[in-house]
Amino acid sequence: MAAVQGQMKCKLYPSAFSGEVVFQVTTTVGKDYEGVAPKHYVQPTAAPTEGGTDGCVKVRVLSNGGNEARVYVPDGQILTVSADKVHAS
Amino acid sequence: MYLSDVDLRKAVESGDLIVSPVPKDEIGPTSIDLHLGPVDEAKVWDFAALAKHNEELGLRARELNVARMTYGTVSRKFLVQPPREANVGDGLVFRREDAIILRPYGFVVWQTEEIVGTPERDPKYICFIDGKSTRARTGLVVHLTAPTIHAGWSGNITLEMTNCGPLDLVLHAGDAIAQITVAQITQPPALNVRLYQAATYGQTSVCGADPDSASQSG
Repeated sequence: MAAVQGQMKCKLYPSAFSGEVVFQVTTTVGKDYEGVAPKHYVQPTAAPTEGGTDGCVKVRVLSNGGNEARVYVPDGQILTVSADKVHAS
Repeated sequence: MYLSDVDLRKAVESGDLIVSPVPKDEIGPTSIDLHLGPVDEAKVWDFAALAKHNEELGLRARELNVARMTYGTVSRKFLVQPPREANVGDGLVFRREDAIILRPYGFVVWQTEEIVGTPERDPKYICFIDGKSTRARTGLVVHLTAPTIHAGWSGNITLEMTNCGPLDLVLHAGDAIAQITVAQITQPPALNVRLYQAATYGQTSVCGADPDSASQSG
């Protein structure tokens, strides 16, 4: 399985640890997923606010069928999200 | 094939192994020491908040659906700094000045000072975190069942620490508490192979500048 590195639009929240952030994205089945990523995997790199900050997280794009993309996120999960959230970098 | 000190130094110097800050004299024959991060990074489960949350959902107070929880949600809500000594009560983890005291069976989650791992592109190594033998003899466990730092990932390492011994253990920021060993992998994982081809049908950037430009120094 080859993958392309990319970015995924998400909402960023503070994590319990200063070196990581929580990223939130809504999957294609309408379920919110919240994962954690080291902070150098996200943009903006400034600490997100408690209310959430719009941003991006690095992903590996496993497939993109036009409307949907399957992505591997930094905490090891594979998610299916709307393709317009994802961009190959 | 595990790396010796000679190859560990070469891997750090070449950037194929990320250890930041770069270790100076703390590379053993086949390992690199890791240190506890700032004391504010020590976290414990907030049982009271979790119980309240569970009550609102009609769940039992101390239960956590471990395989179905969304860790990001749970961790940012219920992992908090340990109480001060005056407020610890019968708790098993507390803070005294700049130290964390871990009583027998206490559990604390604490990140390493170092960012550790391998580059996303064409990683050559996999890392394993482990305790240090002298600390282990006190009953200190520094990670629980999750020693692998997968190829292509880097970050501060989260230690799941518990005290299996009979004494109260005193922990400080900067303590050399764990170590990594590093092994060569047969080839870069397919997940990490960068194909310079469009996969998103001409979409424009969703987030401005390429996050590859972001600092790896954390």
